[in-house]
This record gives sequence, structure tokens and C-alpha cells, in this order.
Amino acid sequence: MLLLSEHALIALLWLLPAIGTPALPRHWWLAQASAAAGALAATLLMVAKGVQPALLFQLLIQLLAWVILRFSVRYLSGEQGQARYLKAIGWLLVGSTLVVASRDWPTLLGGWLLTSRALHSLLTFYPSRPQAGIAARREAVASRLAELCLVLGALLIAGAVGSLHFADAAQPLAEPLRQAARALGAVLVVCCVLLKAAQLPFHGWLTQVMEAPTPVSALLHAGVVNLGGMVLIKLAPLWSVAPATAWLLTLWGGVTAGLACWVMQTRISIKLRLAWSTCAQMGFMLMECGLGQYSLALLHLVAHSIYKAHAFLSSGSQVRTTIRQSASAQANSVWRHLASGIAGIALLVASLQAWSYALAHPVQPPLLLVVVIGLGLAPLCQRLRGYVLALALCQAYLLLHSLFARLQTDHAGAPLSCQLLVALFFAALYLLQGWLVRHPGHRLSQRLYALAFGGLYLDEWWVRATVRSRLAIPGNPALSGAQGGPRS
Amino acid sequence: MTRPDLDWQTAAIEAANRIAPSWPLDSLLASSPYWGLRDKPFAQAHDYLHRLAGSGLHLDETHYRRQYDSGLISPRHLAAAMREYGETLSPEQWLLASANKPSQGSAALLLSDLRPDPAGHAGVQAWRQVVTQQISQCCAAWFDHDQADWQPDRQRNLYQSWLEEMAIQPVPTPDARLKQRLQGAIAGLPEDHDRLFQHALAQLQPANRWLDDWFYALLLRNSGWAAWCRYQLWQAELAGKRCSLLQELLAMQLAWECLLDDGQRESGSRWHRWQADWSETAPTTPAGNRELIWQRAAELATHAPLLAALPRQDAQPVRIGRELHAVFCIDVRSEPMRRALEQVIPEASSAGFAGFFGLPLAIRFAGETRTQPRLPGLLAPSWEALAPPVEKGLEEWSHFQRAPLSSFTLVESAGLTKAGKLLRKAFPRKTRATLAEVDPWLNGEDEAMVSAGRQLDTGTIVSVLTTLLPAMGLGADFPRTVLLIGHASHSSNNPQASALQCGACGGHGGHLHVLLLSDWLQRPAVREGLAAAGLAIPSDTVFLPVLHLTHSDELHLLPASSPDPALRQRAEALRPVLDQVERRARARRAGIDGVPDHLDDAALLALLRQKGHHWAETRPEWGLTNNAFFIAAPRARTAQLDLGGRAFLQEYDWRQDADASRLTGILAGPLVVAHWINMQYFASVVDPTRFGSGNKLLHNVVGGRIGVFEGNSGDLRIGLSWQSVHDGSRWRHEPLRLAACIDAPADLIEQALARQPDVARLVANRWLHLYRIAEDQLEQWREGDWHAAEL
Repeated sequence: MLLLSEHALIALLWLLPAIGTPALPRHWWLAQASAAAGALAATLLMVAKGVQPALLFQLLIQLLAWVILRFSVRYLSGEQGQARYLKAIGWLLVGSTLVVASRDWPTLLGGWLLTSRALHSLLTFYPSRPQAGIAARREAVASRLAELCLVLGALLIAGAVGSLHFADAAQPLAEPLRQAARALGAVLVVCCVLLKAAQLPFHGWLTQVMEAPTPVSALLHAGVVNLGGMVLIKLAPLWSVAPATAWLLTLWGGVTAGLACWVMQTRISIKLRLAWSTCAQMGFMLMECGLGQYSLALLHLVAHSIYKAHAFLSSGSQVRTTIRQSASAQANSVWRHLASGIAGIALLVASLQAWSYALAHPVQPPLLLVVVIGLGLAPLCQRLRGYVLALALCQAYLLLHSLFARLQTDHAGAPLSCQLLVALFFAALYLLQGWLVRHPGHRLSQRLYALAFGGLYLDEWWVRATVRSRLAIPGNPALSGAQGGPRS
Repeated sequence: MTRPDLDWQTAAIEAANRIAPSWPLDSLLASSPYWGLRDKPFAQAHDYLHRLAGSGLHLDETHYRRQYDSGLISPRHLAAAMREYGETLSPEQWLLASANKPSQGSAALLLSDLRPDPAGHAGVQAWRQVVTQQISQCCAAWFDHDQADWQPDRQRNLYQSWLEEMAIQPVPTPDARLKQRLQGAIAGLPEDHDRLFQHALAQLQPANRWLDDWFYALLLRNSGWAAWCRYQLWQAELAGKRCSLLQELLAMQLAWECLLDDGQRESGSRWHRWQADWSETAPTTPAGNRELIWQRAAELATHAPLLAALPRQDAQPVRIGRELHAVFCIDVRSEPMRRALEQVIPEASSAGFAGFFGLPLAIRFAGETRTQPRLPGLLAPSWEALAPPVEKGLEEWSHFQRAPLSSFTLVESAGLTKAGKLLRKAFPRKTRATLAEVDPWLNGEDEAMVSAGRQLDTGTIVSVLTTLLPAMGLGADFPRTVLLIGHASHSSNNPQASALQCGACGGHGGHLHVLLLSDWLQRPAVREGLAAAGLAIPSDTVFLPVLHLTHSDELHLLPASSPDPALRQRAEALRPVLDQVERRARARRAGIDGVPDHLDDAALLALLRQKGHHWAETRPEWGLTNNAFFIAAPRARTAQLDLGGRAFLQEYDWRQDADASRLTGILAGPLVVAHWINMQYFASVVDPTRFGSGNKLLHNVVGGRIGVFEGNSGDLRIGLSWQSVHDGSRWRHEPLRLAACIDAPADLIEQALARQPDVARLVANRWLHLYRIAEDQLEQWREGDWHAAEL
């Protein structure tokens, strides 16, 4: 017996466009109405039951879906297959709602299966494009692997604690065997999330899927990939009883974040730049989960969704943006580069200090985050107006962090040693960056550029690995078309 | 005797010249993708493209058959088209004859296409795709100066950079043995593209006879990037420089052919089959192609009724209205607006003139080295105007937004602010497009731009104007008000927005030119100079700059820079009349494209304006679709006709052109520009996969402004998108060659043609049809003589 929250009832709203087959204008209206009604329902639930992360996330999904549908109705006019599009969006949102609302393993798995199937249908919106077929197959491979991890992990955990509910997953266990089984299960679930969140080297399914209309990319990058983060937040207590997961998330997420944003710099098309950016942002969010900073992870999910949805939908303005963008930054000396990095960190630390005097329960971001966020401010730390801006950003960051900390409690996370390791990695990347800007013609720079331009050749490696292990069956592109979308 | 190494060089240049240039997205002026083939007759070019690229110069027979069945193409036009192509069957027999002509299996033009083994890391692609993809990515990285923050070192040339990339990246094949062999072969490729040519020719042994065609077929594997390289070459040629990019691109293609050659040479080998295919392909003979006949019939069906009406029209010389004279761009979108103006103000006169008003200018932004041409792509700018630098916001913020490690800080501190933008864009505005929206290089306010022309001294200005004014129909008489009307279009979130702008202004709005011109013509010193040159402008004559916003059919009176209050008063007095004019022009937009039928003008205007602002609108307007005519004649010839927005109207009065110099200018300039536009739309319809840029829903901007990919990657896509020429249920552009009709005596036209051999060749090769109005009938220029037109 599944335990459905009221929240899961929003999924029923999305069944309307998923199952119904009204005339096209009504169909569009129905889908937008489902989005709006769901948003209203989520708001009312929050008023009644208090602001919960899952409800907040649901509200976000509903609003994004509404904006994206409003965009799509104009964007897709004249296209064949609009009804198919709406049905797939409906199913996708049913699945996403179930994942977000889930309180037990079967609902989670069911929700994820639905999103994956619906996504497949959206990715093959143009079934005649061979590239779309390949992309959809890659997504299917990653999804099946992730689902396998999830099923195995859920079985281990449920077997160990004797319950399918998330609420029981972290209960104290006496037997070492059960503890070990649960720890292994937790690691498997984390692996599922790593795959679903397109972490290196499994990122190919996300970065190679620009073969569907722009709003599909927006929905994928702003909604679907974020679900993994939501699951991590839901299961926060579980991770604190399985310390290996903290290491795994922090290291994997951190390394992906650092490397993916390096690759991002070399992308020559706007949509691929955005895709690699998603990959990096997801890594950063997973790292925050690994650090036990679930409030920040939640903030990151919400902010990134909105940011990325906007970026994708307005990717057609890139020509205008290019015309109006400033030239690249002047190359600073390495020392100056180092100094602005330190200045960025110092600004954040000083702001933290100020907040800790002013507030009774100030937020305390861990060392690693202070380093990364602080280094991020470095480009601003050049002139006075930049410093002012950086200081303002620090305040915005701390304010948002404090607000989200009231929504979502944090837990203990990866130990200091792990943090130091990742912090050193980011600091090294930062310094190397300064050096590269200064020495673009150096042999090492050229070599590194080629490596980054090739996406570190990780995707090629992964494709070969999946082909060799027969996870992905080569040939027969018809296969992807035959799988189709969810049956209604 | 020619040296063998000379032959391949000639062949490489020949092949490169068959590629037509394609302009970048920020100044996407229309160009003919068939420009490189203009030395071949139309029908031969069709056969040639068909043989080498599998593309044609027509739509499917079913399309024309439907038109025939519905009466759009009459039997008379079909018969005339058949006669033209020398078809001897009677139309009835011909229609009954099987439409399924034996489809020749397409010849294997590239050795690598014969490889049966799967390519790509997963082994699910064909080699052709993989090669296209690899070269495309390499070119994009090389040419991109705006998108990537980290760019390749450009000390070496394109070919060398490609070679370096090849040496590093994993070989895209699932076959381990092939992989090893290819790695060795890549290491053995020459470091220099000229030597690569010799290497490749020695290995593959192509015959000299088909060397240029083979090179062309190789370039077509990445036809988008080839067009981009050709654009670089075009710009270099205009500036008098050299450029070997196309040779380097060709070397990259050749290198792949060498790599994918299995080395087998016995009979039955792939190499043998490939050689045989080339030696068997017959030299092109104009085939009795059914679709080409249909295509010509469709042309006649559209051209004939209107052309037949022309000689019957009043041929009075131009009379300048005493109150108002309006000079429009020759763009086909001006025609309905002109008609509306003449209907609302019957005593007004109007003229058509290329939208850059003959000002060959480029803009240089203060503090930047690059200039931006704002004139037709055929010309090199002859003077530069200095414009204020584009305001780019806070520099540090821009660096912060782009720095790799800053993206996390950006999202967590400022990402939520995008929620406001998302919601705002979900409700597009209904206001008139501002100049800054129309022209991304403007900083909000317009006046600063006018200062651009201030560097020119009065003497130069006067000499420019003394030829310009008579060509616009102004010389003897001046009305009280002259409207100088440029045009521009507004669309949001549209990578190809610039394709809807004025082609004569280099893919930009025409506002700068009309602002400059009206500013000059209001200056007392300039008027004195003009009076001295015999062009006395009455003191109460004013020149008002106007911008025709084509997406909403509005006439926007631009704020003139002159402080003269008379100007403002005249503008204010004119406003209500112009409102009436635009209302009339706009009315024809109701009832089509999902616009409700019974909309009042205010609602219609709001709707059209909103289309421009809407970030999801893929069809903000129809641009120059359905263009089919070019008419150089006094307006009186066409004033009584509804040309349906399908005609380029160039003002021309042969009585004032004794030495044919003006006509020569018209043939060389406006006519060729119109032909380019015509062929761009033509190609985007008949050959959408090669010369159209595909589906806008998949567009992915490359290099910030270079072009688009359709989807993830693939070759660079050029030309117009599917949405620009198709409304989801039917083509909105009928692919017809231009019917150019000139109102002038035969010898005058012949004189002008003799001075413009390029244009004469275009006509002789049937890339456009040239007609002239001879007394009360129409004649067509065919095989070097005038014949009564079959209409």
C-alpha cells in the first residue's frame, strides 16, 4: 500500500492533458490550466501546512511548466505532433510530481519511470531525425542504469529496515549486516542520482540532446535533472547514517562542477554551453548535499531552475547578447589574479562575520563553500564599483541562505579532510585559469584547450564502455522510434 | 603543356568559386546560394547540382500538378514552358506520360561514402555524418570569436589546427584495428595544406577531367562552412586581400578521403568502383526534366497576367506631387504601403529607390577596430561613419557572468532575479518597437547616430547628393515635403532577425541612412552647394526621415536632428494622414496568419506589434516571401495595379538617361540585389536541407553571430528557416525566378547589358527573365535578341 500525500494529487491534474484528446486549442488550454491549478493547489497547501521543501519545489515546477507551455503554444504553431507534445508533457509532469511528492520507494521509482518514458517521447519529437534517435537512446541507457541502481538500492534499504517508507530508512539498526546492506543501498541510490543528474562521465545523455524543440530543453534542464537533487534532500536523514555517501557526493559533485565549467568555456554554441553549465551546476548542488547543506542545495535547485529556464527560452537572443557583450577580461598578472581571489573570499568571510553579530542563529556555510563562492566573486574584485557589487551579492547570498535554512534543516556532511581536498582542487583550477589567460600560446595551454574542447573525451570513453558491455546495442535506429512514449 | 601540379590548383580555385558566400547572423543580407553557378545555364546548373549534390531547382511534381488541377497553372502556360524546353510531346500526352522517370541510383562521388562499416564511437553513424561533424566542430572553434571564453590558439592556420585536433582526439570508430591504422595515417599527414593536396592526389589518383567537380562535391560535404569561408574570401576580395580558407577546408576534406581509403586497388575494390562512377558520369546535357518544365509553367502563370497588364498602363513621365513626395526602398514590402499612401493622398507622388539611398557607408564604433558595412553586400564601403560605442553595461559584471568558477556564485545569489524576467516575457508588450529594439547597435536614443555623418565635408556631401536627388526623381520640381522612408523589422529572440531587415543596408534597418540624408538636406550650406550645382531646393521644402516598421506596417516619423521648428510642425501636421496610410496598408493583414477577420485597427496593430515583442514568435512577418517581379519604370506604369507585395519597384525614366548610365547602375546594383533575395528565398524552398537553415525550433546559435546549427551539431546551416517560408500547411513562397521588366528602348537596355557582362550572363543563363515594355506590347530578351513575350 502506497502512502500518497495530498501533494501527489496534483499529479491527477496533469493526467488531464496526458490522457485527454480534445481539439488542439482546448488541449493547450487544458495543459496551461493544469499548470496554473497545480500552482494554486501547491500554494494553498503551503498556506495550510506550512512551507515545505517538496511543496515549494512543486510550486516551482508548476510555474515553470506554465511559462514553458505559454511559450510553446506560440513557438510550436504550425508544427505536426502538438498533441503528442502535450501528452508527453502531461506524463512528464505526472512523473515529476510523483517523484517530488514521493514518500516511499515504489512511488519514487514509478515517478521516475514515467518521466523517463515521457522524456523519451519528447526527445524524439522529430522522429525522422537520426540524431534525435541516438540522443533518445543515450538517455534511455542512462535512465535504465539509474533505475537499476535505484531498484537494487531500494531493495537493500527496504530489506534492511523492513519498510518501504523514506521515513523509516534512517532508523537505528543494530545488526552490522543490516547496516552494511543499508549503506550499500544508500550508495546505489546515490549512484542513481549521479546518473540522473548527468554527472561526469555520464553527462552525454544531457549534453547531446539538443535535437528536440527549445522548450523541451528548458524543461529538461530546469526541471527533470533537478529531481535527483530533490530526492537527495528528501532522504537527508539516510545520508547521515551512511557516511560513505557524503564522500561520494562531495568528491564526485565537486570534481564534476569544476571540470564541467571548464569544458563549458570552450563550447562554441549557446545551447551546448548551457548544457555543460547545467552539468556543472548539478555537480555543485550534489556537492552541497554531500556537505549536508540541504538548505543551500534547495536554494540552488530553485535558483538554477529559474535561471536555466530563462537562459534556454531566450537562447535565440544570443546574437543580440553577443553584440552587446563586453570584450573578454584583460589578462591580469597571476599575482593580481590571486589577490582578487583572496579578496573575494575575504569579502564573503567579512560578510559572514557581520551577519553572525547581527543574528542569533547565523548561517554557517562550510569551508569548501566559502572558498568556491568567494573565488566566484573574484572577477568583480577589480575596481571599487565591482567591490560594491560583490559585497551586495554576498548579502543577497547570505540572506537567501538564511531564508532557506528556515525551510530545510542541514545535517552534518563530509568531513574537513574531504572538504580540504575539493577546496584545493577548486583553488588549483582558479590559479590555473589565471595562468592560462596569461599564457594562451603556451604548449600546456594548447594541450589543455584541446582536452577541454573534446569534453575531456569522457563521453567517448563512456559510449565505448556502454557499447562494449552491450548496454547500448549499436545499429537499428528504428529501435528508438519503436519504444515510443508512454501509452495513454 | 601544363604542369600537373598546376591543374589541381586551378581545379581547387574553380571549385571554391562555385561556392556562394553566406553572411553572418548579425548582418544576414540575402544572397544567392547559386551565385557560384551563374556561369552555367539554369537547367544545366540543375543537372549539375542534381548529379553532385542530389539537389534540384524545383519542387516536387505533385506540387505543380496540384496547381495545374486547381487552375493556377493553365494549359497555355504549360504548353509555353514545354516549347521553351523543346519538349515535342503534346501537353495531353506529356501529362499522361509517366511522372516516374527512371531514378538513377546516385553516383558514389566520394570514396568514403562507399565504406560499409559503421562510424562514430558507438558505431551508429555513417562516415559522412562523422566527417561533417568533425570538420564542423573544428571550423566552429576556429572561427568563433564571441561565444567561447576560451579559444584555440590561432597562430597556425585552419588546416594545421584541424590536424592538431585530429592527432589528439579519439578516432571515431568502434573498430579497434581501424582505429590503430587511422592513428598511424593521421600522424603521416603533411603539415601544410598544399602538400596535403599532392599527397592526396598521389594516393587517390583522380583524373584531371573531373578534378574540379570532385573538389566541389567534397566542399559540399560541409557546404555551410564552405559558404562561411567563401564569405571570408568575399570580404577579403572587397578589401583587396588574399584568403586561402577554402583551400584549407578542401584539404581537410581530402585528408579524410585519404584516411578512409582502404588502399585496395584491384578491380572490384571500392576505389575501382569510385573511379568508374566518375568516369561514367556523362557530361551534363540539358535533360528534358519534367519538374523544370513545371517550374517554368508556374513562373509563366504568375508572371504573365501582371506583365501583360504593364504595357497597357499610362506611361506618363514622373510628376512630382506639389505637396508630398515619398521615396521608398525597392523592397517588395514597400509596394503595398506605397499604394496605400497614393490612395489616401491622391496628389502625392512616390518613388522606389534602394534602401541605402546610395550612401556607401560603414559604421565604425568609437574605440573599436572592426567596421560594420551598411550597404549591399556587392559593394565595399567607401566611407566610414564614426558612431558612439555600444553601451555594454558594467564590465566587471559581464566578466563575472562569464567566468567559469563564478557561475555558482551567480546562480545562488542572483539566479532568482530571472523569475521576474520569465514572468515579464510571458506577457509581451504591445508598444511600438523602439529604434534600439530594431537595431542592437543603438544605445536607446537615436540622435547620437546621426552625428555619424558629421565628419563628411560639405563638398563631398553635395557631390553625393547631386547624383542622388535626380535618381530619386527630384531635380526639376521639389514638393513642400519629401518623405525619406527606410524600413526595419522587429522580432524578439530570433537569431535570424537581421534577415528581415533591409538587404540594401547590409541586413540592418534603414533608419541611419534616412536620418543622415534628411540631416544633410536640411543644412543651409549643403543647400547652397546644391543650388550652385543647379539643384535649387525651395526654402519651404523639408525632408523628413521616416521608418517603415514592416512587422507592424507602421510609418514611424523619426525625430529629425535639425532644430528647425518648421520640421516638427510639418511632421505633426502629417501624422494623422500617415496614420490613415498605415491603417490602410495594415488592413490586408487581417484574416490571415491566425489574425481574426473582424479586428478593428487598434487591436490589429496591437497584435502585430506584439508579434514583434513575443519571444516565442517564429513568424513575426513574412519578409520578402513571394517576391517575383522587378520593375524599373516610372511609377505611372504600376500605380493602377495591385502588385500584391511581390514586386521590387525601381524608379526609372529612360528619357532622362540618354547614355544609359543610370540603367547600367540599376542593372549592376538593385537588380542583382533583388536577384540575390529572389534566389535566397527560392533556394530555401526548393533545397531546404542544403540552402535552408531548417527548423527554428532547433536552432542553436554558433559562435555568437556566425550562424546556426540545427540541433546539437552537424554542419553550419545557411539560408532561411522552414518557418520563414512555410506556415505549417503550405509554402508561403512560390519558388519563381525574377521577371525583370524595364521600361526603356531596346538599344538603351542592350547598351547597359553590354557594360554589365555579369548581368548579361545572368539573363542569358536564365537565372532571371528580362522583359521590356515596347510600345503596347512586351518583349523578352532571349538568345541575344528581343522576342515578343509569350504571355
